Amino acid sequence: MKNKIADYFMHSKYAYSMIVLVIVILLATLSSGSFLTGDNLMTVLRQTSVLFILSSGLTAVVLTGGIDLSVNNTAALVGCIVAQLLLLNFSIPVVIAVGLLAGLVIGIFNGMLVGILKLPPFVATYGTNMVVLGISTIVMQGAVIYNLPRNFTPIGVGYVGIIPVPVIIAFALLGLLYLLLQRTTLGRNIYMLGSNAYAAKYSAVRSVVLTIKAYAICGLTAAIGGIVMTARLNAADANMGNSYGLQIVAAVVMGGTSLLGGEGGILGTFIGALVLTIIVNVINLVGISSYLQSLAVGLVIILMVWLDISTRNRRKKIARL
Amino acid sequence: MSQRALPRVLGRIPPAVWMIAVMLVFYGFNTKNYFTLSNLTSIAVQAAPLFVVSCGQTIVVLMQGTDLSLGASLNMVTVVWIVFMQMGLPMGVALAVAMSSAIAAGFLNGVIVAKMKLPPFIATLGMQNILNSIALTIANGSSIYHRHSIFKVVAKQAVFGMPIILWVAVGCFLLTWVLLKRTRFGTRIITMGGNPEALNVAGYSNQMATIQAFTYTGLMAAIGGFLLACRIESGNPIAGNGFEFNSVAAVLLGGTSMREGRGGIVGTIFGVLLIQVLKNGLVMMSVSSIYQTAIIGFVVLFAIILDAYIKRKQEE
Repeated sequence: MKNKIADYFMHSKYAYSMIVLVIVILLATLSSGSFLTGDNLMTVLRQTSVLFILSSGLTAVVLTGGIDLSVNNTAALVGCIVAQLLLLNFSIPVVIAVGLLAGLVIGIFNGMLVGILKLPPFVATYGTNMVVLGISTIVMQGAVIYNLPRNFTPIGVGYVGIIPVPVIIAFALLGLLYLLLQRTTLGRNIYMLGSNAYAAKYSAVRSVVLTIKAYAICGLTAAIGGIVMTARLNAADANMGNSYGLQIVAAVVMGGTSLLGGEGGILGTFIGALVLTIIVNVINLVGISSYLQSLAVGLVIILMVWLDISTRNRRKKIARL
Repeated sequence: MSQRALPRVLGRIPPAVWMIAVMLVFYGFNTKNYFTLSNLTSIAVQAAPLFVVSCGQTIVVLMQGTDLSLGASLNMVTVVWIVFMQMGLPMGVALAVAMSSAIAAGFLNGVIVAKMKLPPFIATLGMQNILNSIALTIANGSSIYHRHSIFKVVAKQAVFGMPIILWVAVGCFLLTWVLLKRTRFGTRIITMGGNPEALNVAGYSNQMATIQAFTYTGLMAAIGGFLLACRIESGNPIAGNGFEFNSVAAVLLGGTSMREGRGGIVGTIFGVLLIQVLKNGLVMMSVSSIYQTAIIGFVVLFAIILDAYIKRKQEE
């Protein structure tokens, strides 16, 4: 029996993430009395939702063995475009459609750089990130927009019954991407491309198209995240993606999706987003300088990737025996 | 045969050289006083910190890695140096502390990549966050100032007709060149990029070479941070942002390949010049700063794409 539980944990994709989640919740409860209050938990859930939406599509990219470092500024650009169009009195469905399209175009562009030109993914997307930040600055003309129309902000701050709208969007995306990755040919091919590019090639998987599709999904979810983020802040600013930079990647890695590709999944990313949000939340509650948040995120990502890689090597060694 | 020889020779010249030529002509026609000694010197002086950082980046890229923590490292060096001077430490001691912190960060990067086996970009991205956080915490989020004559001496004072800042850059170039071409360390770095297995078979440790390379890059970041602080005459927790990507771009534009240990430090000069000529020209043409990030980003990305495209054509 004991062995079975141990066995389950050794083989579960999300074992480490779950353990870390429990530890983080325990530490959070111990270090701040106000952590386990209804209000705060609602805040945590809402912030988790935004971070999860941003990192959900990235999960697909990382599963192919790639990375997209342009998610945060893509989200910011979409937010800026949406805000400017709203000021010009375009109707909300049109504005959202344009925003999603912008995200999709950036995603496809990244996919082409990686898939067709074979640029190293982090170089290509770090470059895109800079360009996108520049475009945001042009879109905003260096200014900040406050006070968006009243019928737009509910996307970020509204409720359906007692459930906040961003939480609903996050769970809808979770369900959709779970089905896409686990139950469709596209999903299976994404896993195959990441775990064994050669096998994928010989199984007639069109890796270029597949890569572009994965990055397109990532661009699309970044756009959704950007829209929610803007509605929640009730403001748009070219630099509003900055604080999310590494957190988005960290959420995916924290959730047990391997940077080497092929292993992990979208459920893990939700857990990862939750863990990171709790860490940032506690840092705020305890009153530590917000500058130290990124120190925590930096340490977390190095430790998690290290854990992932060292256990993966061990598992491979076990498999060889 | 002879018909093909010319394109092959031309193809070997990194795209950066062509783009610099095009830009010089364009700016020469569109701005006044472009080809004056003072403007050309100012381009070189502005390029110095980025060039020194790129010397380090070249070594990391040669062994198929990247160091994305360099910009943050520069931030930290400028802030730590100025803060310790404010606290009353002698200039030299404060500088030693600041530079050691960057070298230590480089060493840690090396350990994380070599011993903990993390992919370089994620290890250094994590380090970027950590160093930025240290810089922002120490500086409390804003620029800090301290008067000292060293800034003007390094950035402006000419020795043998050239500002000291440029002599430092030349020194870093020579050091890196000798290291790559004339030492076993250099050979091992280049072998690691081309054929890491061969190194193991020959009985050398990849791990040691990796740690040495990242530590050397940390040293270059330390010197780059020192030069940057002299140029902006302050400690600034965000002044180094973008150096990490611009240096990778400069190295790639200079023809150093991320795949097979090909290229070298000479090409990097042109990569750095390309970025700086572009920036300087935008200022000379009084393009609003709102447009600058996007334009520089586009040109750099375009050049990287062009480079990848040319390499693919050559391989075919």
